[in-house]
Amino acid sequence: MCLLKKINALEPLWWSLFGAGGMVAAFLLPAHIFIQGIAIPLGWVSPDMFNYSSLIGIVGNPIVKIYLFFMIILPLYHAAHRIRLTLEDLRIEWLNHILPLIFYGGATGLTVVTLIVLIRI
Amino acid sequence: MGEEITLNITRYNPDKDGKYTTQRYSIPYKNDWSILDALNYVKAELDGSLTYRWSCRMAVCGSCGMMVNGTPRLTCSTYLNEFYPKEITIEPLANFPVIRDLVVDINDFMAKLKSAKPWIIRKNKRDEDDTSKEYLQTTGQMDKYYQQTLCINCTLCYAACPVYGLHPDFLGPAVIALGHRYNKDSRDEGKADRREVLASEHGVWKCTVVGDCTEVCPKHVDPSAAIQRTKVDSAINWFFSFLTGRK
Amino acid sequence: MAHSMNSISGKTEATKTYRRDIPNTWWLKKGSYFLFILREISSVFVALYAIFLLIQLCALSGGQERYESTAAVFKSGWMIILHVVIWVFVMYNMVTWFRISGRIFGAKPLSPVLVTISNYIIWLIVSIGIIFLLLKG
Repeated sequence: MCLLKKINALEPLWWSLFGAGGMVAAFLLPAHIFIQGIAIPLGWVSPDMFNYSSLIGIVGNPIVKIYLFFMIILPLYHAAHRIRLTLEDLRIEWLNHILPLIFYGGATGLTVVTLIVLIRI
Repeated sequence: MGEEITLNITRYNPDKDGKYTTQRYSIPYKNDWSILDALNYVKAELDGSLTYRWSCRMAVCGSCGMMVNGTPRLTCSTYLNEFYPKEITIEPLANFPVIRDLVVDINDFMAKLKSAKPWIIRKNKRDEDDTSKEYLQTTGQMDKYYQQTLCINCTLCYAACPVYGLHPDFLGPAVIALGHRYNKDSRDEGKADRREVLASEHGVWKCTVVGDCTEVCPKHVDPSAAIQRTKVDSAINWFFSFLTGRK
Repeated sequence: MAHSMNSISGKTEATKTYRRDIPNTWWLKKGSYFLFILREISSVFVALYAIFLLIQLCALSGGQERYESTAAVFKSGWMIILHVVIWVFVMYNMVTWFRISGRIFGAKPLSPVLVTISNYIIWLIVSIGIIFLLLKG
């Protein structure tokens, strides 16, 4: 319960991460999803970059690593905050009070995973 | 016989049968009648027991707010001709307890309004008593809060806000907008005093930006934007006090 | 607040108020509430894409063989359909995001429309930049 209180007290931090994630989702994701998730698999474009040996080199660049880090973790915090508040509005009583722990904890866990993966590449 | 229009009006009288029901009334249709005119007709000609609040008839007093076909409206400035020939359903404002018929209990709102200290606070308390002192303000400084001064406390925004309905502890749109109004006033020094209420867990952070408060506001106060701006201010303050270790 | 002052006698009398329940399906009752929930749900797809990126990075760090088998999965038909769904929700999230940020930052001397339009212009420039780097980089 003490941990939950501490998580709740960090509301300005969660909201700021939510806002930053919303910016990433609005400004950066549409182009990435369109090219990487739709245009390339459908064969509309076939850039040289998307093969193992080129990608390993590009992702090895520290600037690309920092870009990818924020492009992954900020949308996660964005979604964690939104889903938590939406579920509260749907009033699942027994679940509501542990929602912050589940979602912010989950996003923080995946942040650690992202960090480790990026460092190891 | 001229044209008629049907009103479905909520009835509730705890002293009689205590049943929460809807009663149908057919009244003459007049092109220039407001919903409030129609209610006055019902009370004068058909059923003197119908209870509702009203006063100014010109969208200033904020007392005649009701749900008109499910949307919170000021009945004095909502006209029959918007709905005719369809039926009109008139209910008490949503999210508030009903005292009788179309009258709701807004004590919760009044208490929250007071908690946000919507008045000018000076650090030096003598300033507040000294009536001879002038506080000059430029039009640019006034622009920062003028929109929120237009609030008439009609509570339509509370009836439109699902977050307030679901979490009755939420401070709600108008109260935060009015706290924001004084925070943005160059003559005010009470930002820190209001923070513990506005930036509490029942304050701005509860808002999920549904945005309906802004849509229904008859005075275009835009409470939704005021809440989001207060979030930005609160977050900046939180980071600042976190970094400097100051409260 | 079950008590109200009786202004004539000055006594406090119990008044039974009627409290209306909000059904759990409240968000289906109004168009604007439904669009609100739709906007909130868009964040699930935002998170899904972030997790997809993480999965692809994991595969990349696992060596060529693992990367290529994962890349094949992302080229399958149902994955493309899923990405189209994700893209539609992310675009909807973008539209709502720019509209709200217009409201927040569009106070005088700026106007909400001006802020929203400049968001779209920045979005266009950033998107062209990203597409250029992905295709030519």
